[in-house]
Amino acid sequence: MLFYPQLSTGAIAQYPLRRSAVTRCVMNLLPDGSAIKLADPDARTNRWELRYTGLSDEERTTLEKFFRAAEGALNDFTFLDPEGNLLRWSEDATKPVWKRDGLIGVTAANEFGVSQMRNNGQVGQGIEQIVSGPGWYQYCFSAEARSDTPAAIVMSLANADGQLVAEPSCGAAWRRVWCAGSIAGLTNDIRCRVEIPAGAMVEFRCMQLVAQPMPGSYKRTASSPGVYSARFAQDQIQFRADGVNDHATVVRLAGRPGE
Amino acid sequence: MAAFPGIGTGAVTQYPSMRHVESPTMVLQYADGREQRFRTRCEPAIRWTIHLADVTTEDLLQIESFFVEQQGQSGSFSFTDPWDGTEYPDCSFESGEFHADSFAEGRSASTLIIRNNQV
Repeated sequence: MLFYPQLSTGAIAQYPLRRSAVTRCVMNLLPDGSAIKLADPDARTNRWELRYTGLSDEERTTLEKFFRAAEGALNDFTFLDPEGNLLRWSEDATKPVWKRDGLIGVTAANEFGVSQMRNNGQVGQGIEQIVSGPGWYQYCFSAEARSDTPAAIVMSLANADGQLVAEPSCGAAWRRVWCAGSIAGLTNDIRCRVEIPAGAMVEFRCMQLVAQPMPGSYKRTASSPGVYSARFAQDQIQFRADGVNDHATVVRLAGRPGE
Repeated sequence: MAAFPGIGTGAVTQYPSMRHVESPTMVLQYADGREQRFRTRCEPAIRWTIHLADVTTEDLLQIESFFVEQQGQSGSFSFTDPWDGTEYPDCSFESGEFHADSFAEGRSASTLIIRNNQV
């Protein structure tokens, strides 16, 4: 299985970048200017144009090797949207994609995007979601949290190769909390978990998993996360050397939401 | 009927913005120089170029979601002309592609064209 590589910084793309939603509609234009239209929803795709500058020799080699491995546009690979939230149902922890511990109560988000999590047990409990993606990548699992009484939250990223844990605290004011890093290994998934202490009630919003070292701006998701089955939309890749250890290129990709 | 969403400020476009009014006419010129003309559309076609030079990614995602819900060119929605406040109940996206250009964290830009369908 191929995965689009991250740069040495942990980012997948640089600014500026272009993302396109491409739809297909069969149109029959009539002489009077009106049209008979029929949408083709199954033909919908996404496209990206990623512009890179300042690539090191190693990053350039990595991208070129990846292009060769994909054999240009021939083979599919998994692409993590550089701006996308990799979680499904980011504002509805009642959905089956979220695994809840036995005595955890959760609510779907209200009109302000705020969900409540209550731990009715005697030990720390929480919710978690498993995301299909290269487990060794840099990830950041973040959320905004608040609680009427101070609470110590446990946020973690884990898979079969290891675990990263952060234990931020939250109080009455909304605070951005996160757990970030990478887990060396070969496992093709990452588990995001947030846990609250026994008896605590914590409000959450803007829960997000991104493939980068730090939290990004929040994107709400429903059934489709930012994980795509993609291919190169180009038969050649061209690098420009701007100096020693300094390269630039443009990568064009086409993809559909992964299963 | 769905309505085209505005950005956070309540506006639907930023400067510079354009509005095109097209009244297609078939002109037949005869040998003696006289012309016979007739219009090929009952009402003028109106197109608005929605230019979003610097909006939050959240605002742009909202518009993109609306574009996907409308299935690109296929859907019909109401659009309020930002120039004079007239509401046009039957409008569509001109293109089947929506481009979002991100130039900084949380900041994006896009340009799209909306056309009035009523003939």
